[in-house]
Amino acid sequence: MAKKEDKIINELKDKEYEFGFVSDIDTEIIPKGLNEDVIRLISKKKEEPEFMLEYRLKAFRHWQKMEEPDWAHLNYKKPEFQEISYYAAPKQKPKLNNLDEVDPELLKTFDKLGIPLEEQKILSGVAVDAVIDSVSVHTSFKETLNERGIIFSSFSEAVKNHPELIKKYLSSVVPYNDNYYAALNSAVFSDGSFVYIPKGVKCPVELSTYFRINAANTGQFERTLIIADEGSYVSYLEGCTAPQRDENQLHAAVVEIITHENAEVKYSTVQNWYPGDAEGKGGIYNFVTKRGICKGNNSKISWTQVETGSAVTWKYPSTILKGDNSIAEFYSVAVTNNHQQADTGTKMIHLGKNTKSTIISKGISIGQSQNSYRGLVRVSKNAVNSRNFSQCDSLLIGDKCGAHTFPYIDVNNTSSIVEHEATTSKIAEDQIFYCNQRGLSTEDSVSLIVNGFAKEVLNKLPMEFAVEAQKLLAITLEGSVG
Amino acid sequence: MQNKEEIKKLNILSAFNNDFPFLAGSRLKSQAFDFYKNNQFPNLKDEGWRQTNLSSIFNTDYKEQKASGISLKNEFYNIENLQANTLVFINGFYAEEYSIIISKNLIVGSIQNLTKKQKELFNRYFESTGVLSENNFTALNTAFAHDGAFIYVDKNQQITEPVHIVNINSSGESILAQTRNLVVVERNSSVQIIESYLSENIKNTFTNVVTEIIAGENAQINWIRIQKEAENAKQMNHLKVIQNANSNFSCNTITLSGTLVRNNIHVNMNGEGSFCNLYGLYLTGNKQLVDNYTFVNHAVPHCESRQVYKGIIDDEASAVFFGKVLVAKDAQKTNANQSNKNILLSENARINSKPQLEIYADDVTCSHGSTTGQLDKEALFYLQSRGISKEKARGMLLYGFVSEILNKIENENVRNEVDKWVKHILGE
Repeated sequence: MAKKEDKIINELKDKEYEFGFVSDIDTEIIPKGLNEDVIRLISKKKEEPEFMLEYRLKAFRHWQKMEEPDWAHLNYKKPEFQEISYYAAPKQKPKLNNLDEVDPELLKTFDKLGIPLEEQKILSGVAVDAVIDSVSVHTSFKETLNERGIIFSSFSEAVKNHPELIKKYLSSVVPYNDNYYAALNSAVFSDGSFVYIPKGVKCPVELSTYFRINAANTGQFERTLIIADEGSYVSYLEGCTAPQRDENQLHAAVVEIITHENAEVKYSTVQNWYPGDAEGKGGIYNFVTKRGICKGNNSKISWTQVETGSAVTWKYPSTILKGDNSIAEFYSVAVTNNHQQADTGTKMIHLGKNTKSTIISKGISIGQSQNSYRGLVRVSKNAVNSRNFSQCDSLLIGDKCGAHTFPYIDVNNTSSIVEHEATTSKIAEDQIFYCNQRGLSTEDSVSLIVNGFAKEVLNKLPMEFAVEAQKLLAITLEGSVG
Repeated sequence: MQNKEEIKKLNILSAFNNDFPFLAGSRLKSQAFDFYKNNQFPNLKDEGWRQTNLSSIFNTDYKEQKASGISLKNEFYNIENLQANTLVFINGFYAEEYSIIISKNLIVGSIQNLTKKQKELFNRYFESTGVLSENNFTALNTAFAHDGAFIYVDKNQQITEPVHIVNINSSGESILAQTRNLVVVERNSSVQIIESYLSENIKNTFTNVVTEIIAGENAQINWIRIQKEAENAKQMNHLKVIQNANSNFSCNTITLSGTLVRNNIHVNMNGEGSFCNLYGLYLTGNKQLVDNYTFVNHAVPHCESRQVYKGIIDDEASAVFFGKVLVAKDAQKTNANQSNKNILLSENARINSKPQLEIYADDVTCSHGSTTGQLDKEALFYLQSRGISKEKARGMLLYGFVSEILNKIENENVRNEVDKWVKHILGE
């Protein structure tokens, strides 16, 4: 039995990163290093208006005064910020009207990833704003969305076309001085997605952006801004894979979501960046600030994430429940293997009356990885009758990994109910025995049990994504299947 | 820098200097004093003290006041019907005239009295848990404790009468009372220890207590702590336990009053097959702050720990629960659970709960839970509809909530006494 388990663990550990390939696209890279000139250059290259440059410089000046945080349960080599190139854009024709103009190498990359960028995509009902190394190269479904007044474009386009919206909402949820990596992102962010759903509009399709870190040595600094106006609804998908690399790459994204009265945003992520090899060499640093605000009454923000990649993950998708009766959800599956480290969780800040939040977090640690849940639930004095339920379960596979839970619960009024529970265990021998008894191999049993363990979260993903997520989970656990 | 300032703020070095009798001339004393001088007091920036504002402790000019001349009535500190070895400490000093020893097979007394007689034993165990370098409060205590209880249970002894350590503060001055306790229970022995804190006519007291407990193989230690000081009393309490194989340590911490109470319990499970139960109850009101910090270190396999902390928070009071369970890499077959339940009774009450699990072994069953809520309105209505007044019904429900902890008090007389006080506070 023990031998079999070891075998499974070894197989899991040996599993190579499946999507690790480098696509050969010409990229335009500015020299390494970070100073005000670089920021001016980025802003100029992107043809940004003056207020954006000012914003970037303000953030940069503040960032210089900040220190890298070290409170997380993580151990990694701090990035050398002067060794990173802060801008890489695929060699690009000025404007793209159809797919023929897209670099064929790029299309091949998408094919390998199975991204339905062409007709199939329209059939599958997904509008994709594909981002390769920071600059949007293709935006589809634009017309359909235009009809309804939905703005779904790259961030830089939005800066050009809708500066008033950017001015109003940029940094309204994550201030430029929020934290070390958010400040860095605010200074140097290259591109990202912008979504605006007008009043009363239900977005008919799921909006999706695929990120891909492609050029060696370039940090990727994405900026996403989603605004759901009164009574609107949108489901937004974000998924990522990255090619195999030896040096650590830094990814410091910022995502901001604003929901007005009666609006709802559902934000789903599947993250599968290169986690480093079996010795823990290489891999992506994923330091992300994601935050939404339920600004209006009865609004809702739902975060779902499946995290299987990255060498180091530092990520807390959070929600500020400001509007009365607003609702926030956080569903997460985080799998760490080999030497991966993840410190992830959420923050639920209850400010409005009758606000409700739910946290379901499932951590799976394999090999020598460390997986931490860190979450804050704060109920302010005015958030009467608010309600939170948190559940954090950890599964340990192998005796060298770690699973940790660090909840922070802060309740300041008498009418709220806050519940937190967490469990940590390994797959019990009797569970495997039960499956074996019914004719399942041990490998199948492990897969079955892990899938069941994560089901609660996977079920929350949109259909199109759930398939990919299950695939990812299966890949990460492969060796146990059949 | 801050360290220097705070030493000034504590302003104790006139009374507490190198001539201080406790551990006079010992290496440990200078070690502790060096640590104290070179380190800061914990502050709001330290993870474990984030919600614990200690400023009220620092801005005071502390003196010491000897026990002589203070007269006490037995009823004040005795627990009804309790036949116990009683050690009384007044303002941190041992009060021999009030103390009674009834057990024969037990070495018990004040540290100052026993250090000479039991020099070998004392030196073997004192500071063997390494508590002095925990933080500046434990260092300060090690350097300048007034006195404390020394309890030594030799192997194969079942002590039937519990030991009652009574700590009383009584002074019209601002005083710093520091007691330092050492409890050693050798293998196959058992003992029950009751630790109570009371005060009478105090102006401003800060009690800084450090207790070391060493549980030998198969030893059983049952610890009951009752904190029932005056409303304005401040207390810092550190308890560090080392458990050897198959030992059993259980601790009940009942906090009924005090304006600032911080209880640190640190349990090192160093021997396989050990059990550890930590129970806590805090009833807070006014502007009180009660902070319970526990750290259970599962260093070896096959141990089991359980923590249940419950609290009722009223008025503008706040409570903190920070519970940490660490399961070391090879500590397989560990069973650990933690639960913290709170009821908030007022709009301005506040709770901060941080139950944490840090696990490096895979074959474990660990869980924790934390809930915060209020009285069930339907239950309240049900009782009222049966003709019970609202106040009475509320008291009944609250009493029901806390009785889980009260029932864990493994001494009938103590339980009855605490029960009486709790009922009085809850208005049941």
